[in-house]
Amino acid sequence: MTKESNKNKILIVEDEFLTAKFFEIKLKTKNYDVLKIVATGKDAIESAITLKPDFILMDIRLEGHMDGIDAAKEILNKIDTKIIFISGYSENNFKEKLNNVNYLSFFSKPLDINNLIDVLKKC
Amino acid sequence: MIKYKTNYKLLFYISIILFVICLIMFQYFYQIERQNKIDEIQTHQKLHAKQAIKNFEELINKWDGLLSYLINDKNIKEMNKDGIELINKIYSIYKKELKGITRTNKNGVITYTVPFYPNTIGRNISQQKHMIKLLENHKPVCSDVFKSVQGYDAIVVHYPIFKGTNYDGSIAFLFNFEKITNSILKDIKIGEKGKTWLITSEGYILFSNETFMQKKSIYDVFFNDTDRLLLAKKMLTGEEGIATLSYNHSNQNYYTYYVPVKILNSFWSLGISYSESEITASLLNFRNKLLFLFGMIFIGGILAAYFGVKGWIIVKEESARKKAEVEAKQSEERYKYLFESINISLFQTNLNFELIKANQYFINLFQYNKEEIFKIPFNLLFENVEDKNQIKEELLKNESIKSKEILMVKNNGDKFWASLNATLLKDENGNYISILGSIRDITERKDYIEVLKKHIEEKDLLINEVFHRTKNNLQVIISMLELHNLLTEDKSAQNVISDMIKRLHVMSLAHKQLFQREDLSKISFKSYIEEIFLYLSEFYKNKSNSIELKLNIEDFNILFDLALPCGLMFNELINFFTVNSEPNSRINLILDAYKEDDEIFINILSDFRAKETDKSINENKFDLGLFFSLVENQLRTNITKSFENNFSIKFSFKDNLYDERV
Repeated sequence: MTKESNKNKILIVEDEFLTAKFFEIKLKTKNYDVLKIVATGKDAIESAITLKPDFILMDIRLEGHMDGIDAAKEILNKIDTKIIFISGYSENNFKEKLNNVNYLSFFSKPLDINNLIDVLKKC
Repeated sequence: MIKYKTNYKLLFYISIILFVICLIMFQYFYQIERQNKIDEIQTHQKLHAKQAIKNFEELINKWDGLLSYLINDKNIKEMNKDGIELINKIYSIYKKELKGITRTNKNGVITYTVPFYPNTIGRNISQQKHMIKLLENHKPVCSDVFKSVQGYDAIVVHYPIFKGTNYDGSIAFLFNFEKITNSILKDIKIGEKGKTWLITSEGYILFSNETFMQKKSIYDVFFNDTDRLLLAKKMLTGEEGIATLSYNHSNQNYYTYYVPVKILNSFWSLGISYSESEITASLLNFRNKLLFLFGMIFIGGILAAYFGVKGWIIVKEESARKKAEVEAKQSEERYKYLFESINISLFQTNLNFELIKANQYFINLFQYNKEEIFKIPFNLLFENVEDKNQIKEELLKNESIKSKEILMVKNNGDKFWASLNATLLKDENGNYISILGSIRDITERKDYIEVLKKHIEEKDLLINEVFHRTKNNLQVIISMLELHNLLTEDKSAQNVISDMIKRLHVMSLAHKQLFQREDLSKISFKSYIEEIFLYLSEFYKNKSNSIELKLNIEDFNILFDLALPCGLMFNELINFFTVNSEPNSRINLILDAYKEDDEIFINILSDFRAKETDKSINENKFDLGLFFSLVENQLRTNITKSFENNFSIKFSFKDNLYDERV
């Protein structure tokens, strides 16, 4: 299977290593270029600015004091990218906070990776 | 000035009673007087009658002596010259009273008569009624009244004459009966309509004021006057008595006293009647006086009753008013006592929120003294003056306010949360006059509620976190399995891992459903099955065979503990159909689920044909074996299955197999 778009650079922001690793390997099998895996909001911002990914898979609860939504806001202020939130919480938990964020999609864990790939493909 | 309302209804009833009493008394006294009058008249009747009887007896006695002498006189017996001379002499002496003297022989033939009438000598009178009696009995007799040759009404008395023991005729005296009755009976009638009558023992009317009756039989005269005939018959018995009768069927009643008069060997009966109308007429004056008297009594009674009732009402209403005043005073005192002693802060203001009353508890609550609290503006007690205006608006709209929470200020500036209840008071015309209210310090309650809210928020956070961790952990496990799957090249191991991943996803969908609901024990069975099918459709989308699912699931909730095995079973079923069906085939699957009382029914029907059906649907094989194991060991029920024509599975299980966890 090959990807349909030429946007293929992905930054994974996930503090669970095994989960992040699975996403990385699975995406790579689908010909996506996983630029980096980071576990904190701060690293996410820095990596995003530096690597300018097409997509950022963003967990919400992260290591450190900054959560994924705040990090996404910062990143979106600085670069043009698409944010896909992946969280153990549901979207409703962050309804108000997410109002000011322009994000592509929200997936609740455990994630069916095929659904994620479908979203990526459409962009 | 107090106006007292007269009770006219009561007055009316009293008037009626008074009228009836007056009427009864009038009747009573009138009847007594009437009876007295009747008694008096009857006494007069008796006296008249006695007098008449006495006169008759005297008359008879007077002539009895003379006649008794004559019948024993030898010359009279022989009727010789001396006898004729004696008769003439007696006649000349008693000429005024005696109208004639007659001597008859033993055959009833007149042999001599004085005054002398030549035609009468030799006349046989034996067939006359009294003569027949005389000739039979040989005893003195008295005739009925007859018209004499002289033209007057007369009676004759015959005394028998015996020669030895042999009857030898009679000597008779002739009397002018009119003269007798005029002297004895004529004047004894009472009143204008009073009647006197004298009848013989045979019913022959000797005398009556109604002259047409005289010398006639009662049976002829009264043949159509039953009452008088009855009376006459009573008189014929020779007894004394009193009778009331109406003459000729008239409404006029007569009171009649009748008494026998002994005449020689027989009797006459004398009756004296008095008319009721004359009694009534004689009572007219008395009746009028009585009417006037009772009329006056009635009017006096009405007036007395009127003033009595009025007085009674005044006394009654006055005492009721005094009682009400006392009660009102007592009530006010009780209210005052209650107002002051109750352990709730109470206040009363006018409509402009100017304090009129406040109990000690209220004063203490706001930490003012009694003088200060009434001087300060009421606004000062409110943290936000707007609250006060809002209260007024609400009161005018709803007339009362219940448990309104407002922030209030004490004298020392401390603020506290208060619950206010207030109501508008009205005057007797329904106009609003003041506001009565109570204030309760609810600071402690508010604090407690805040603590509770915080606890709830913490619990919510904890639940969220638990969900988050559960789902995160599931994600980690799935990720690990996925990594293994990617790294291994063993196909059968890959299938096992894929099955495991699917089962974990099915479980995670149940968690997702649970997390989305407020109920932490149950989830929607229909939504859960639909989500599983969506997930599995996505999972198997690259397979050439397909499953057409028709869900007939009622919308009911199911315990999480029961939903989870159901989800896993459904996953096993879809997996079994997909793996074991022919490539490019299409399987129709119908899933019915409904709930009756506390029993959940599941019916599965499919046109599925396995490649090696008998072998594949072996319960011991893992793929569908897990399905049957879960039904029996987790849902604790038996399954009905048939794979001959169609694939059919039916089972039901108790909804209350587990208690609700939360």
